[in-house]
Amino acid sequence: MLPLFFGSKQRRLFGVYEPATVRTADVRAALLCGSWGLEYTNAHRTMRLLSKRLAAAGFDTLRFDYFGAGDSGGETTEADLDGWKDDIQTALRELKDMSGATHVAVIGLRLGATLLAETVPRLSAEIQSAVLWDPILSGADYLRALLCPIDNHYGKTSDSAAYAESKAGLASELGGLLVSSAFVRGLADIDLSTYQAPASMRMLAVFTETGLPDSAFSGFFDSGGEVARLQAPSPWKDAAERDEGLPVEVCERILKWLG
Amino acid sequence: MAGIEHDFVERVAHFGPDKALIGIVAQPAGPFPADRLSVVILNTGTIHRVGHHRMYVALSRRLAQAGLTVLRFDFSGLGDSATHRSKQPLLQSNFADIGSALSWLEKTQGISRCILVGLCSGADHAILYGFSDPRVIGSVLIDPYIPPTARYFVDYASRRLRDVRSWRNFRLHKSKLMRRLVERFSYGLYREKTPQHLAYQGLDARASLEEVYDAAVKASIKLLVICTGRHHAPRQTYREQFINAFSNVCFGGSLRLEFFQDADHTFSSAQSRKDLEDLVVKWCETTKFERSRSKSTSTVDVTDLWIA
Repeated sequence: MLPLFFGSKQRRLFGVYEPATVRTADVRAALLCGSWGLEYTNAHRTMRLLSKRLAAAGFDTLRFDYFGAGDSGGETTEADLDGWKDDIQTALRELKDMSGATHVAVIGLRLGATLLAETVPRLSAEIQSAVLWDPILSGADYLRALLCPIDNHYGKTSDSAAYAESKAGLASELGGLLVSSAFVRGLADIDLSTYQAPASMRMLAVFTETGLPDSAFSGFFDSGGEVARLQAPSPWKDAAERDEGLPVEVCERILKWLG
Repeated sequence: MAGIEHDFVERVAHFGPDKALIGIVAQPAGPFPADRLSVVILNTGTIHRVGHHRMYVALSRRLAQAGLTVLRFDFSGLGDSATHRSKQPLLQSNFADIGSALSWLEKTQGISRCILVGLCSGADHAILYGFSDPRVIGSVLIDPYIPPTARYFVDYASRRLRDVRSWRNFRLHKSKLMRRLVERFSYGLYREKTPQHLAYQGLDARASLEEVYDAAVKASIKLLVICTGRHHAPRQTYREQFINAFSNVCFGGSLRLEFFQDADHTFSSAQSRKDLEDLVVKWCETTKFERSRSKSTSTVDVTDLWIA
C-alpha cells in the first residue's frame, strides 16, 4: 500500500495506491471515488476494504480524496463539483501511470457515484466499466436531508446551532462543513432521474437504500445499465443509524460483476 | 513563535514496525522556529486521522502555520494503518503506536518535545500515555473521561426532566433517565455482593485516573482540558466537573480548563471548530512548557482502565 500526494502544486490530491496482490494476464486497475462530508468519514473503512478486496482479485487500485476534502490540499470552501470531476480525471491518469493499465474500472460511492455518472461519458475511451454504488439521484432531496436533523443520519451528530446557521445561510455551512455557494448550487443541480448509461461501457448501479421506488433510475436500466438491489449495511451512515458490519455483499457483487 | 504565520507543507509519514503506521505531517515551509515543538493528534474512536468534519486537517494546518510540526496518524488497524502484528492488547498496542510516532518525530525531524491532542478516546489515550514518556510536555484533552459527580447527576436529571422528549419517551417506556436510575439502583445492589467488578463501573477508574493526573502534574506536563456541553449523552454538565471529579489532584498552574457550552462532542458547527483551533493554537504558543526529565515514579496500572 502506498499513500501519496499527486496532482499539481495548486491542486494537491491525496490518494492510497494498493497494488494487486495477484497478477492476471492483463493489467487491471480500479479507481475508487468516495463520498463527501460525514459520509466520507463514515465510509472510509469500507472503501479501504473494497480496495483490498480488489487488490486481492488482481486490480491495482487507487482511492483518493477530492480537493478540499479528506487529506487533500485546499479548504472545504474551495471545493466545487466541476473541480471534483476534474480530480477524477487527474486520479485516473495517476492510476494509469502507476499501474500501466490502459483501461480501468471506476467505482463511486454516493456523491462519488453521481460525479462518476456525470464524468464517464467523456472518458469512455479510457474506462472499461463503471459501478455506481447508491448514487445520489436528486440533489434537491440530498440537500433537504443534509438540512433536516430529524429525518436523516446527519442529525445525530450535529448540534442545533449548526442547523440554525445552516438554515439561515445555506451557502455557508452544510453538513457541518463550510462550503461555497457554488458547491451548494452544484449539489442542487444533481438530477440523475433520466440518466442513461453510455453505450460504450458496462455500467452497474448498486442500491442498498430501502424505500427507493422500482421506477427510480429506470432510464439507466432501459439504456443497458445493470441494476442490483441488495440488502446490506449502508457504510456512509453513522454507526448508530446503520446495520452492524461491513457491506461485504456489495463488495462481493462488485467483484463478481467486474469478473 | 507567537504571532508569526508560516506557509506550511504536508507530507505522508510512514513509521513504526514495518512502516505500518500511516500519518500526515504538516510543518512550516520556511525556516523552523528555534524552540521546536511537535504536536501529535490521536484518533477519535474508530474515525480515521482526518477527524469529524475534517477538524484535524484544519487544526494541524493552523498549528503548522504557527510554527509547529504536526503529525496526525492512524493507530494500528484504523484508517490506513496496518493491523498490529504483536499479540498486545489494544491499549498497549496503541501506546506502542504513540511511542513510535514520537520516536519518528525525534529521529526524522529532530524534535523531542511533544504535545498530545485527543478527543474522547483520543484524550483518554493522551493522558494515560503522557506521564510515562518524558518527551510529552503537554496534552490537549478534549472531552476526556470524567467520572460523574453528585452535581452531574442533579444537572442531568434536571435537564432530562425539562426535556419534552423525555416525557414523551417516559410515556412510551423509553426514558433514558428512568433507565439510568434503574441501572444505578441495580448497580448499588450488585456492588455489595461483587466488589471485584467496581473497575467496570468506573469507580476504580476515578482513583486510578487521579493517580495518572497526579503523575502528569508532578512531571510538569501542562494540560489543556476542553469539555463540551451539548452531548446527547453528556459526560459532563458543568465546567468544574473535571476538578470536582479529581478533587485529590492539586493541578495548580498545570491546568487550563475550558468549557464549550454550545459545542457538541464532534464540534459539528464550523464556529465551534474555529474557536477550538484558536484556543489550542494560542495555548501552544503561549504556554511555558517545562517537563521534568526525571522518569515517572507512578506505579499506576492503566491497563485496568480500558474497560471503564
